[in-house]
Amino acid sequence: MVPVEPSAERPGTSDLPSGAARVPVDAELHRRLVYGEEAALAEAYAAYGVLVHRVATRVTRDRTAAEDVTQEVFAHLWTRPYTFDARRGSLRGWLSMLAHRRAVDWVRGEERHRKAAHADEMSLRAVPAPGPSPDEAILEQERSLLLHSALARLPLPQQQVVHLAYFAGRTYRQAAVELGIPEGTAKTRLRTALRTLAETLADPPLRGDHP
Amino acid sequence: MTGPHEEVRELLGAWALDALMPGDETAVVRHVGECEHCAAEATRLRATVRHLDGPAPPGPASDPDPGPRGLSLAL
Repeated sequence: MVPVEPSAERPGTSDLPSGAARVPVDAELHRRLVYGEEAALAEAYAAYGVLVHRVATRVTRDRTAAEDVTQEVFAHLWTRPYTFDARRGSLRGWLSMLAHRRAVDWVRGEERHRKAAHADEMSLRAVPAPGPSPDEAILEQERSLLLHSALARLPLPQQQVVHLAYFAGRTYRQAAVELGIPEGTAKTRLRTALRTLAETLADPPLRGDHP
Repeated sequence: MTGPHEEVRELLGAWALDALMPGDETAVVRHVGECEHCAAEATRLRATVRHLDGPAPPGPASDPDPGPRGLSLAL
């Protein structure tokens, strides 16, 4: 067992990773993970644990699920570090996307359970039990899931920049530097990604159908 | 040579996500006040980000992001 405490450094709130809270260099950290060095896992967790947990919490809105997703993401990094390619982006973005995908899957699974349970209940009663009707908060939550599902389907380069800006609080310039792309490209990717998401809202797939 | 319209239009995604550089905001606000196309897109993209946020979590808002408890993997 490797108990590791998350560091006080909050990737979303610190302006630039510098000084003592410097983020480990991806390629070097990755190499050590591939070699199975436990200290490298601890460093990755200290640097990105808070971000991964934040992504999982925002999507699942469930404390236990967010913890589970966080553990899974770092377990994945530990057991299959070779699935990360440092030439295709940053470890921060990659871990964030991994957490996001798993969290979206978890919410979809929950929704399926809920609907199945509801269908069972309905078949047992002729008259639906009086209860709160779907209110605005539930619709908002469904809309949010729709958008997060759509985000998880965007081309990876677009997803990565959105993750750095939206979840990790980076400016387009910081995101561009981190990903080694021109600033203009980062801006364009952010805009294209959001326009695609906006279209999803304007023309949503059939209710209950989250492919 | 690009005018303020092209420049600001390219910034609207970053603007909606609060990912602008200091100083960009002024140019965006000025142009959006004059250009109805950009204003419409800005509103649309900002609304999309709000929907991505989803509803405010119920209960006390004092602990919105408690942070992970720690990592314990059986290695």
